[in-house]
Amino acid sequence: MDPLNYAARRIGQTLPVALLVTLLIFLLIKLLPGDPATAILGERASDAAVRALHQQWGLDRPLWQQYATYMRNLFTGNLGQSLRYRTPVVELLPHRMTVTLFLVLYSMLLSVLIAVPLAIVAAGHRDRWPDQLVRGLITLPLASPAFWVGILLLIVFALRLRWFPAAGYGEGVVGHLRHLFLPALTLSNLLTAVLTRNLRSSLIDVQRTTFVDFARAKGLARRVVLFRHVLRAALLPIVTLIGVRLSYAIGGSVVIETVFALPGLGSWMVDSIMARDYMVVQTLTLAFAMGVMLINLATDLVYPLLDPRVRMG
Amino acid sequence: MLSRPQNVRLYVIIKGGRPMRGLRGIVACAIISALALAGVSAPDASAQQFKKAISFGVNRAAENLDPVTQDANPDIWAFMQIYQQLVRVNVQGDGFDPDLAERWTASADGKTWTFSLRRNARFSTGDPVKAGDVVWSLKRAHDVKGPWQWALEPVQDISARGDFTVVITLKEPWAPFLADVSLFSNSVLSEKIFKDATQDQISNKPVGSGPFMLVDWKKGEELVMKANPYYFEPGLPKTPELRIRYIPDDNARIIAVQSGEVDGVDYPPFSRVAELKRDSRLQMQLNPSTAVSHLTVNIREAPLNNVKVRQALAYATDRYAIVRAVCFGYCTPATTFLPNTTPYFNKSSKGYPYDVAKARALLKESGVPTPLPLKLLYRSGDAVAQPTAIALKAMWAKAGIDLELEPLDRAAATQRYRSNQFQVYITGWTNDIPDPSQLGAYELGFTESQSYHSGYHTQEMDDLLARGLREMNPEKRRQIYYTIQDIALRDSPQIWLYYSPYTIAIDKKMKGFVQMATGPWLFKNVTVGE
Repeated sequence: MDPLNYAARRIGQTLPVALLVTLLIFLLIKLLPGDPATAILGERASDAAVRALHQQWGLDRPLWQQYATYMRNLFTGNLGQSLRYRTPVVELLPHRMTVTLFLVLYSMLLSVLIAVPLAIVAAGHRDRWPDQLVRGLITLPLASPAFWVGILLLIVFALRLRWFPAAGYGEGVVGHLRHLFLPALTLSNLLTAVLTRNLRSSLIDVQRTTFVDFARAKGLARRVVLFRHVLRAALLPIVTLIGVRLSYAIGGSVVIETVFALPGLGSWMVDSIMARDYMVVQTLTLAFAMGVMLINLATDLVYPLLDPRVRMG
Repeated sequence: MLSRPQNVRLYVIIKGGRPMRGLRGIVACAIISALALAGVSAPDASAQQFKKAISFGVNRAAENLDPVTQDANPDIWAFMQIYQQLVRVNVQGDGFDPDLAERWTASADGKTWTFSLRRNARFSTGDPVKAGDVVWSLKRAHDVKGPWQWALEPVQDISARGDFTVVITLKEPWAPFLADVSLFSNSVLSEKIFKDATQDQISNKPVGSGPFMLVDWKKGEELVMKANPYYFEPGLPKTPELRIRYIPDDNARIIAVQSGEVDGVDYPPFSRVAELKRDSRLQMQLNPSTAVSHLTVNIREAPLNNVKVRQALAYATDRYAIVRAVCFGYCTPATTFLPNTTPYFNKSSKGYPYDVAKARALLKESGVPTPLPLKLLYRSGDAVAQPTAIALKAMWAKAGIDLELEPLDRAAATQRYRSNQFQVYITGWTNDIPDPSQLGAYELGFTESQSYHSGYHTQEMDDLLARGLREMNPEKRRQIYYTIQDIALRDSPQIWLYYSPYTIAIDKKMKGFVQMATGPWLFKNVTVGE
C-alpha cells in the first residue's frame, strides 16, 4: 500500500476515537464539582451574577443540548470561547501551541544529541569504565523529578551563571532557542536516559550480527561500519521509542511549563481546569489526543524510511 | 508529521559523522551542537531593555479588565494602571486625593455632591475627559450587574453640568460616599469608544486616562503597557513601558527577580522572606495591607448555631502559633473583624486570647458532647490555608474538638462555600475602600452575602450597620463601629486569625514603587536605574 493511502486510512480510523474523547472529556469536566461562573466571579459574587453568566454561556441547559452545541460548533470549526478571557479559543491556541511544540521537539532533539554519542561510547567500550560511567550517570535523571531538576537548572544556569533567562519564551528563533534551552533540557532528561540505555543495547546486539562481521571483513573503516551499518540498524527500535516518549513529553510539558513560566498548552490546561474554563479544557484535551494519534501515525510512517524491509499494511 | 524534524537531524548526524575521530570527537560534536542550538553567547544582551521597561512578575494572571464586573485583584490592580476615578485614596489610606476631580463639595444636607473636573485630563486617545464620560461610566457602574453595585447604591441621580462639572444627588446622606466614589469600579471610561461597544471589548481593550495604556495583552502570559502620552501629571509616568508578567510558580517567580529577568515580583511566600531579605540585590517589602485572614463558621445548624461553641473555638485558637507557623512571624494576630489599617479600627480591643481551659469550659456549658466532630473546608494547594488547617487540627484537639480536614480545589471549595455546604471554611478579606462600611456590610450584614455565608443575622447588628452608613459625625461614627467590633467578637460568626502584609520583592535598582494599603501598585513614579 502506498504511504498516502495508508495515512488516510489510519486517520480515518482515529476519527471515532477522537469523537469518543470529546464525549468523555465533556462528561468528565461536568462531573467535577465547582463551576466556571463561581470560579471566575469569585467568592464575593452575587447569586444573580452567577445565574446571569450561566444563562449567557448556556450552562443552564440540559447536558445533551450542551454537547450537541459543542459538536455542531466543532464541526463548523468553532472551538468556542474561553469563558475566563472572553476570547475565542482559536485566537489563543496558535501561540500556545507553537510554544509547546517548540519545547517538545527541542527536547527530543537535545535527547538525541546527548543520547546517541553516549550510547555509542558506552556500546563501544562495553563493560569498561566509559560504559560503567554512562550507565551510572543516566540513572540520575531517571530518579529525579522534573520540577526539581528544573528548579536546580534555574538556580545554577539562570541565577548563578546567568547564561540563560529564568522565564519566558523569547523573541525570534534564536530567542526561543535560548529561552527554551533549560526547559527543553529538563524535559529531555527522562528520554535521554531511556534512549541511551536502549540504543546502547541495540548497538551491542547489532554489532554481533553477521552483516556487521561482513562489513568489517570487507575491510571497511571502523567508523564507516559504525555509522553506516550499525547505527542505522540500531536506530530502528529507537524510533518507536521516541514516538511513544513524545506522547509522554507532551504530558510532561505541563510541569515544565509551570516551573519555567512558559505560555504553552500544558500550563494553559492546568489554569483552565482550575478555572473550569470548559471550552478550553475540551479543546486542549482533544488537541492532546489528536497529537498523540498523529505521533503514532508519524512513527509508523517513518519506519519504512529507515528500514526498507518494513512494509506498510 | 511531528517526528519529521528530528528525523532529519538524525540523518545529518549519521552522514556528518565521517570527520569525527573517536570518542572525543563524538562528545565534542555533541557539545558544540548543543551549545549552538542554545544560542549561548556572553551574558544577556537584552539586559539593556530593562532600563527602558519595567517588568513585574505576578502570581495570578489578569483575565478581564472590565472595572465593574471583576472581583479578582490581578484584574483590578492591572486596570488601575489604565483608569482614573474622580477621587483616589491617598497612599496612607486615610484620606482622599484629587484625581479626575480637582475639587468637590457636598451640600449642607449631605445629599448633593458637586465634582469639578480638571481640564487637562485626557484619554490615551487624546480626547479630553469630559463630564459626559464620567456620567456615562458611573451610570454603567450603577446599572451593570456586578459585585460592586453597592458602591453607588445611595445614588439618586448622576448628571453633567457643562463639560467639566458632575453633580451626584443621593437618596440620603451617606457617610462613606467619597470612599465609595474612589472605588475602582467607578473608573472613568471613554463614552465615545465604549458607548456601543460589546462586553468583550470593554473586557479586552480598556481605554482610560490613567498613567498607562494597554498596547498588547497575551492572555495568561503578559500585559504590555506603554506610558499614556496624554496623562495629566507632567513627567509621569517616568517609565515608557510596563510589563506585567504571569509567573505562577513561587520558586520560578523568585528566581526571575533574583536573576534580573524581572524587576519585581509579588507574593513571595512568607517562608522565603528571611532569605530574600538577606539578598543584597533585592529589597524585600512587607507592605501594610488590609488583609485579614479568618474562618467563616456556618451558624445555621447545630452545634455551631450555639454561640458558646463558637466562642470555644475562638478561645481554642492560638493566633500567635498560627502567625509563626503560617506567616513565619510576619503577620499580626487579629483582635477584631476589621483590618488594623482601617479607619475606626479599635486599637484597644483585646480579641480572644488563647485559653484552652476556657474553651473546654465553654464547650461543657454548651452541652455538646465531646470530642466534638467538626469539618474544616479549605482550598487545597493553598500555601496559607494548608498549614492553617493543620495547625487548627492540633490546637482544637486540645479543647476536645475532633477536626476533620476537607481540602478541595479552588473552584470546588468556592462552590461548596457559596451554597452554604460547610461547617468551618478558611477564607479572608481585603478592603477596597478606606472605610469600615464595606467589610461590615459584607461580613456581618445578611443582605449582601448572608454575612460571608455564615448565616449570621441579627436586628441589633443590622441597625448598627445602617447607622454606621448614615452617621456623618466622625466621633459618633467611631463609637458605632467600636460597638460593632465588640458585638462581632461576642457573636463570633467568624473567627478572625491574623492581619498579613503584602509581600513584594523588588530589585534595588527599582525606585519609586509604592503599593497602596488597598492593594494596587503605583508604577507611575518608578524608574529602573543603571
